[in-house]
Amino acid sequence: MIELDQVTKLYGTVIGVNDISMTLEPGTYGLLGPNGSGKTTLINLILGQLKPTLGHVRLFGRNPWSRDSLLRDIGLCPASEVAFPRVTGYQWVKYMIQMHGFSSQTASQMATKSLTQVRLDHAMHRPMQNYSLGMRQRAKLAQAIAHEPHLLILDEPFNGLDPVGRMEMIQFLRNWGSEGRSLILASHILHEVEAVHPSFLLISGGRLLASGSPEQVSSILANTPNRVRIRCSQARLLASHLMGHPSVEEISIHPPDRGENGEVLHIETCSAAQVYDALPSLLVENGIEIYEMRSADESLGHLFATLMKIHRGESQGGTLI
Amino acid sequence: MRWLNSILATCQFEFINFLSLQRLAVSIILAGFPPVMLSLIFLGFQFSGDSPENPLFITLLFVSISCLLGMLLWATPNIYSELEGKSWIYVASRPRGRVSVILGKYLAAVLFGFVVCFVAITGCIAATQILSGSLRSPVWVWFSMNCLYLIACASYGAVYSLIGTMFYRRAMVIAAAYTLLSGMFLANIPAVVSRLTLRYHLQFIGLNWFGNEMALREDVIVTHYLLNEAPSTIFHLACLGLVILVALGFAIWVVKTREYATSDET
Repeated sequence: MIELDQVTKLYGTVIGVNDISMTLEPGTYGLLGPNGSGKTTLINLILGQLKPTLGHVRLFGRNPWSRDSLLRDIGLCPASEVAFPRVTGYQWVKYMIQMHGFSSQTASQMATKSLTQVRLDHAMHRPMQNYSLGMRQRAKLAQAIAHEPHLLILDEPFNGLDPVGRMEMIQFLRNWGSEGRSLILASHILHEVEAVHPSFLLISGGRLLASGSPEQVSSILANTPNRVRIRCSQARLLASHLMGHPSVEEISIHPPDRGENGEVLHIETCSAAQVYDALPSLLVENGIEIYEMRSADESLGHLFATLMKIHRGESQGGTLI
Repeated sequence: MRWLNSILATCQFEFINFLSLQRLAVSIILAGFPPVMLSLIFLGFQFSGDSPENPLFITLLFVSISCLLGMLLWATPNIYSELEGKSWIYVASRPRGRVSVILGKYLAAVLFGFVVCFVAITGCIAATQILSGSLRSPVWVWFSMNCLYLIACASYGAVYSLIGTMFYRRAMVIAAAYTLLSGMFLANIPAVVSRLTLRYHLQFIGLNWFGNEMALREDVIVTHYLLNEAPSTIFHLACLGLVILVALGFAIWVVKTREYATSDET
């Protein structure tokens, strides 16, 4: 579906993306990276909005640069906000559909259908200026899916959405993927992308640092310095056993949140995977019951710091492409 | 047909977007400026018991100012307004988006500009007839002047669209500089170079259509025709048509082959 061969994009002396090579087959992809990492530049290169300074981009087997016909099969939901003061959501979505060459009548039907699909039908005849951020996000999604593209590209689609909106968006994207259509979801928030169950593309500083399934990303994290949070019975007993473990650097005990039982252990470790390996036997031998266990550091910042270290050869472990 | 749908959709969207109080106020000022100024000149002369020698010339001067300012405001920022409003990526990622933005916005600007000129011309002709009654065939002058300004809007609109596409960051400054250079300077040079300006051709079409109403001194008319070998209206129309086609064609080529990087790229 998409091929990038040693693609570099320079804005003057600033590097947008740096020597990226990858091949994406149809499927669901999460393009993850901190702000300013080159996600939008990469999307614009894929769409043919930008011309690579070096390398080649192929979209559906063809060079997308100035190849407008390829855009028919793509729906783009950019990160940028639009708010036309006197234009309603319906008028804007209809206009966007007409840019594909559809007649006014067909575009009207498609606009109504897509706005209903994103649950904005009740407000579609209101000026967009009066929309909340979440409603504008839905309108943006509606214009991207209205012409039923094969590939949907969303840039930071969760911005401005409340928890219910996020859940609905996640559900929508899961359904989109399960219908056999392709999706590229760019975001800087790991757990939101993770919820859509994509394959990951991890980008930072314009470089593609890693790619793979969620399990592969977790394995990268497991083999790097991390903080593990465990809520269990007999936390002090577990702490005393773990204190002697070579990969454990620090342990602290905290009271649980209101309404929760047990106590909470925060374990600082240089390798979470080794702690995970040691835990089962300790738990069984001492009859300790675990209520909750998670890695507290599974934030994107930590992940990318780790990946950058691996990339620079400062750290071992993980699966780098 | 599909291209036409997209272009008309852009034009229609521009009309919806245009209907702000600010823009309507600008349009009303531009449309009202020529007849108000002409009326004030007439009234000034009436106080001294005289009348202006050539009211049609004054009408052309003021309507031209309104026409040029209108086209400068509406045709030039075709790309910049999209980039500034962060809506460029939405249209550019559509198969017909880029070309439709150029042609649809051009069409809308020509229509806005012509409406302003139409109102201004109608007001000026009415004021001339009411305050002096000096026009022998006011309906013909009104009609031919409207046709002339429709052509002027289309010609200047095309050139400004090209400037807006090529120099989108400084489009207004460059378009204003072009207008001053070509309209005020080059067009007044009595040499072949003046033929390269839009004003030269528009001037001659006007002279051919309603020159007899302009009470120009005979030596001026003779000089004009002798110097310029009395070209026909068709020749001037063809020249302006060619300018429109070349300018819009080049603008389309530029917009299709150029990167318009936004500040959102990360």
